[in-house]
Amino acid sequence: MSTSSAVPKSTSSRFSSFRPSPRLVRGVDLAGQWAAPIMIVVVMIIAAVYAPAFYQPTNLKTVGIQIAVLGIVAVGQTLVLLVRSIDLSVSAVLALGAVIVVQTESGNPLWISFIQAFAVAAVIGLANGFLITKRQVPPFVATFGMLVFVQGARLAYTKGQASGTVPAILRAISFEQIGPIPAALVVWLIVNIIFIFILRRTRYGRWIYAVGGNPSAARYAGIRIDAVVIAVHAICSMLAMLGGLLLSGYIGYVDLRLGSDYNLNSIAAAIVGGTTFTGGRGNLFGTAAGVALLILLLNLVVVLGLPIHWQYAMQGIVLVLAVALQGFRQFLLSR
Amino acid sequence: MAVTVEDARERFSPCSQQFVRFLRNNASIVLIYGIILLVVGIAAVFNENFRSPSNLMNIMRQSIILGLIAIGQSVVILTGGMDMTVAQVARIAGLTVATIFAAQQSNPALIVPLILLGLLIGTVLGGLTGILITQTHANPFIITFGIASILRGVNLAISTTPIRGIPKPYLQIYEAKIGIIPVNVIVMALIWIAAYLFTTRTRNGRALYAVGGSERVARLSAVRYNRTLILAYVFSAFCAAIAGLFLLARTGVGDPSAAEGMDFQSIVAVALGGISLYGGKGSIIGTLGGVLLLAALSNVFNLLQVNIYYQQLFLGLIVLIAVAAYKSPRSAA
Amino acid sequence: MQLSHIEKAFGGIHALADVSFDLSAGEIHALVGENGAGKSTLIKIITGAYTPDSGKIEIDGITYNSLHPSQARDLGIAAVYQEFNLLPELSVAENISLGKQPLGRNGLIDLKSRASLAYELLERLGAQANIDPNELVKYLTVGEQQIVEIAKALAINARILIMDEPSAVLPSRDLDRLFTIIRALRDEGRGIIYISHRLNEIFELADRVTVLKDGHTMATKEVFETDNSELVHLLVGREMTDMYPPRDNTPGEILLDVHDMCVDGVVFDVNFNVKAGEVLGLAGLGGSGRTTVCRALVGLGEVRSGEIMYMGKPAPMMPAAAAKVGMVLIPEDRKTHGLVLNQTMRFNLALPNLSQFINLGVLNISREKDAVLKAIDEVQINPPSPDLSTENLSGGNQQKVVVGKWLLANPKLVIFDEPTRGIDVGAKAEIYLRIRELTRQGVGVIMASSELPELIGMSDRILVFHEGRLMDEISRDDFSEETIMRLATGTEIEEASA
Repeated sequence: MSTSSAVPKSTSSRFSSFRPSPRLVRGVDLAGQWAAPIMIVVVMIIAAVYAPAFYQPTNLKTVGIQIAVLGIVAVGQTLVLLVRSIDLSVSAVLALGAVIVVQTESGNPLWISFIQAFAVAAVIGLANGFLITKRQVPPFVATFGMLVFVQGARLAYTKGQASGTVPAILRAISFEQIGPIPAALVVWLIVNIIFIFILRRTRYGRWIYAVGGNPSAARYAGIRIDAVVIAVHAICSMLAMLGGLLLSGYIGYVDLRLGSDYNLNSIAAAIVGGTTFTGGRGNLFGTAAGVALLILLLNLVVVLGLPIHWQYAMQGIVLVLAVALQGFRQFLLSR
Repeated sequence: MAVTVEDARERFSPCSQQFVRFLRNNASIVLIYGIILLVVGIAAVFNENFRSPSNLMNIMRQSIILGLIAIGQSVVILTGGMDMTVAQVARIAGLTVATIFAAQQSNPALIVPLILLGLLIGTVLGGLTGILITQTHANPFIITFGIASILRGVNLAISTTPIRGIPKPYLQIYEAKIGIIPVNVIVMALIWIAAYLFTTRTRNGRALYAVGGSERVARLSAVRYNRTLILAYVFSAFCAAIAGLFLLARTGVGDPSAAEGMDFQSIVAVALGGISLYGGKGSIIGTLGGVLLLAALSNVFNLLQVNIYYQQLFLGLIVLIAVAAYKSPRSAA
Repeated sequence: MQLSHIEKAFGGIHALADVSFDLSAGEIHALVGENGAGKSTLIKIITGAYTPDSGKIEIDGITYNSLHPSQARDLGIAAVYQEFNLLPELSVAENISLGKQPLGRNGLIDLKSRASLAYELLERLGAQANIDPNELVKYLTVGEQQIVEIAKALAINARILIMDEPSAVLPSRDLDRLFTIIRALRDEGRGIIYISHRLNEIFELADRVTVLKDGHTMATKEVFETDNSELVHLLVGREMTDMYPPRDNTPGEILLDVHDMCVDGVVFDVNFNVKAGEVLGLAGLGGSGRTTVCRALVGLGEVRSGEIMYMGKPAPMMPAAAAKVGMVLIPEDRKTHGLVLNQTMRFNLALPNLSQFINLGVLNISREKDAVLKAIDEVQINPPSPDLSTENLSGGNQQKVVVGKWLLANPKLVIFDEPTRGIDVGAKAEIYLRIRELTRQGVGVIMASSELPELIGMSDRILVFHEGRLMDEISRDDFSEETIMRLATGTEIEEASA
């Protein structure tokens, strides 16, 4: 282990003679990997001392459901980040899901509106992927444009009115428990298991890491990069849709501002969990830890009786710290 | 830009050729102003309210806030970055000033110091953002996204409800007129001219293009990379702070949801104006076009009484079309 | 300027071992050497991009251990690289004075004097008639851009001008103009380091020539004292080692048949075939189309016309499909094209072969592991631990991983592009053994390389490329470095036409 040193990758590194010690690189590396799990433990200890209310069953259940929703969205976001892309349209898709399912109960069977919802999500994701691969639009611009468009479409459709009733099944998933565990959390677990399996035990998972790690090598290895990226975006949108459905079941009505924080939080969770912007690095265990940490912190703001808007500051600080740490690590590695 | 140069000019370029080159190098600017003319022309023909001088002046005035923010955004995007904090910076400048006014019984004597304070806040925040980006080498888009979230929390901590108590003379900033031309439109014009000169005719301004064009070339050509980047974010936040102060004068209340959506609108205006989102290419004149187009469109929508939500849909559609028509640097090269 | 005993190593490999070089004012000093001889490393040390491990740099009588880029610029050292340092979206005038634009009295950039400065410099280079200072650089031809680069160097009043293979990117009609410019600069008293592969240019242009080889200075000669054959000898003449295992293969039937292949403006009318169990060498200088041919065969790159038949059928022009029928390319530059560096050996070795381990859509990890271990054993990667990240491997081991991952695909035709660049002697020998073994099994091998001894040692036939065209096919009996070099540098045609 101790022999691994910073390999000089000559690109952009020739402007200063600063060479970090391997120990520093490894330290930053480890900090990036273990920050989330360690912080979770620390936060939980702090909570036990200063905010015992955190451990009340009702609060834990809330935390569980919030983890489930963000966790499912963050799985998609992680996949997207793994292929060097990003998805800023998740929040719009999330909100759209609720609208489609809640407001189209004009006699249609429920399963049809579910299918509609996921089909719409898939189309949005495919469009994102198409813009990014075939038109070579920078991912954040493409998906940000999609965000505005989808939001506009949703508002045009609902005319800004919050209405409709949430189907019973969604309410059930959000409020029933399976044993001691909220059903939503079970959904989250299942999604994680499926995608961890896909990433580790299928060709598709390998392709994702290869495309993100080195697109050129992936191409030489016969992988169709564009197809992988487009598919990943479609999956991400569909997971965001699933998250939206769970969320609307939990909230019980369609809120106009529903889901607006999920862009930032899903990215923050993935990054905190060790996934990089530069692609090919990261995993869903890390993301799950990142999600849990973020939700814990946001929940503590509430439990400690602080004004709710400190949540914004909290999520911002977490994101900035994580990104800064990661940028620094990347910088060290490029030396 | 077409530039006059003594003898070289005649040798190479008869007038017609210069004109062709001007069109080629400024295609996106010609295009955006063409579209503006088209929109304004059609609206003027079909809607008599639209073509009234006061309405046209209104469009100008409505474009001030976005215009200011978009100048700063242009400068940052020219370096290949992006500033998602602008709306929050505008908001924090306005809120701070409003809070102090309210606490000091609307004392008019505080107007000048508080304006300076507002600008200082912007400058400091921009400096912090710039330093964070240059020192951590992090992705500017995401890091400013995070900073924006922090600032949003801070803003809500300052106040969750509109703050009243702005002194009357402060409101005059927005209302004053010389003839029919509002003073603020004049101020605006001056700022645009200054920004134009900055980006075309100063070393620091041109360094933005070098930095956004290629880090390697910029560094090899003795352009100060980090300083230029930090300067860009300072400039952007400074412009946003001015916008926030203007907004305070317009609405008369310190609004904790002021400038909502301006981050994105400013990026849209910049992109519509033809500045490459990869940096290093485009002109601030194009951004002005983008701003005016957005203002004209929203004016037309309001006159036609289009539902605000359809307006949003339409904005999204414009963005998607602009994005889909995007030309990558590779295919352009 | 004087450089003495410069050394520089990267990760244990000596790019430069004891190089000395000097340049006086008013001379053109040519620097020649094969790929990897250390030319570019030397330039980077002179321009301050790299810090030498040891050695001295002396300029105007002042001795430096190393230079900073800004220091080098202040000393008047400028380089014109093959890859231009211009901003295509800015005007010629602005590019020339970038970093130090002239200010007028009002504190703004003085556009007039900026343009006239550019005009003046271009006039000195005799290019004022062709290049408009106000034109955007992206609309200039490559030759014109090069002149702008030179003007940019003059703008900082460069006294030492380094030209890195300026002729490689130029169409030949621009070459005369470039030479005129370079001579004029010399006559102004500037020192010019001229790097080129083309020996005839050196005789036409340079005053002195230094030959670099494997990081050593072989010789510095006055140009009039030497001749073509001596230089070729210095360039290639190394002691032959017995690294190359003896030939024990018998070429079989034709595997791949290429007719009149043209690739998008780079390669023209190429005809050749490859037989099972033979090694076909592809020789040629950088940019001669060698690599393009390799890439095109597996469908990376646009084949404009021609017919490529593989085992009697049209070749599938897609990397994945090509691999499926046993045609694989082992690319040059393992770090950019060969490996996903942040992943493990197992990941990389398995990547193109995942379909072998798939069972009902699921990867069979134990089968994958067995195959990977077998591959590791076969190409002898040491340490044989499949879960090691490839970024921590030595260059030789990395290259073995790249080779191993394609051998796992059970290929019938393997295309090697620069199989041994930048790896140590031991690893090279093992790669050669591997190639021999492949041919013994009846696999056809195409080997593109810039190292002539390797081509001569391994190939059954050698094809020589020059400027996108196939010059000739040389059979075993006629192999010699001189012959190949002559064909590859195009000396033959020029002599014939002269």
